[in-house]
Amino acid sequence: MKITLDSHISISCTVGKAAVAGAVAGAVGVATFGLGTAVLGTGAAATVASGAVSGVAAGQASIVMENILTGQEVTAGLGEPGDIAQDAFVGAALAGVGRSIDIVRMRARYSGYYSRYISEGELQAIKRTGLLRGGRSGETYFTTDHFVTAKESTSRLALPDVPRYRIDFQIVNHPRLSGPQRVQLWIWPLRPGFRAGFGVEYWTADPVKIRLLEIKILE
Amino acid sequence: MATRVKAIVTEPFDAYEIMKGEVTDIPLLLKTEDGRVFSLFPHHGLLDLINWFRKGRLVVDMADKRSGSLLRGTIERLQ
Repeated sequence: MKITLDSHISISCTVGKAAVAGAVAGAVGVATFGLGTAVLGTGAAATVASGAVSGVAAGQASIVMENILTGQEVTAGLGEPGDIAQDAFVGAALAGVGRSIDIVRMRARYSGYYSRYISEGELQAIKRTGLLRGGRSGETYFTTDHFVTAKESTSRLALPDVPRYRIDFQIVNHPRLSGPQRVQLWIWPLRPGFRAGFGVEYWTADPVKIRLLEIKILE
Repeated sequence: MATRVKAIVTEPFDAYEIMKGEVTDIPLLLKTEDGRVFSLFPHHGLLDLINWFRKGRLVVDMADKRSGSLLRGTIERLQ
């Protein structure tokens, strides 16, 4: 078999174009998925829906890039129902599988105690009552993430205010827990701004009685 | 049409407060009895609005439109 320089160049160009189209499609998929989870949430249905939308967006972006790189009309092949359905299914399936694996990873991170990031006022209330948030009504959130800086914990857990302490604790009563779930990325409201999210959160509407293990001042 | 609600501010701890007021049909705006206005967004995402329509209860991130301060809380539909 005779391999010419022309065929080498042709193969390299094709691979290069496919790589560019793949990279753009991947970037569009990731951006759409991030936006989808920021708006819809990080629960099972929201993750699968975001995966389906990002799959479609990535597939269509890939077609556009291929058209551009091969000199065809930009809109050629766009909007084919079969392609859209297939991309949506693949995106949803991958997102669902990814979330399941992530939940296993989050559960595995539990090392026998939880953490909560709190203010001076809440610390005094916990010492006084033995209950998170002093036993006040409403949802109580906590995590298995161990951050050392106030800035990182505020961003990753999307906290409304900057905490001063991290407390590590064990739960000694039996509240009905929800989670683990990824904290939703915050792009709303515009004030006070962006939070990266994607920390781990558990929550309950029941009072949480605890055994305090450690109090750490955040950097 | 507005829906009467009780709003419990849970975070930050020092901002704890129980308020009464009204939310829009899709609860994205809360007007309290004392005249404050909050923008709302479901803490667990827009799909969590299903919980609001089914159970009349929702965890929300709340931004005070006047001061810009950010809070987290729970809104509960009042009968």
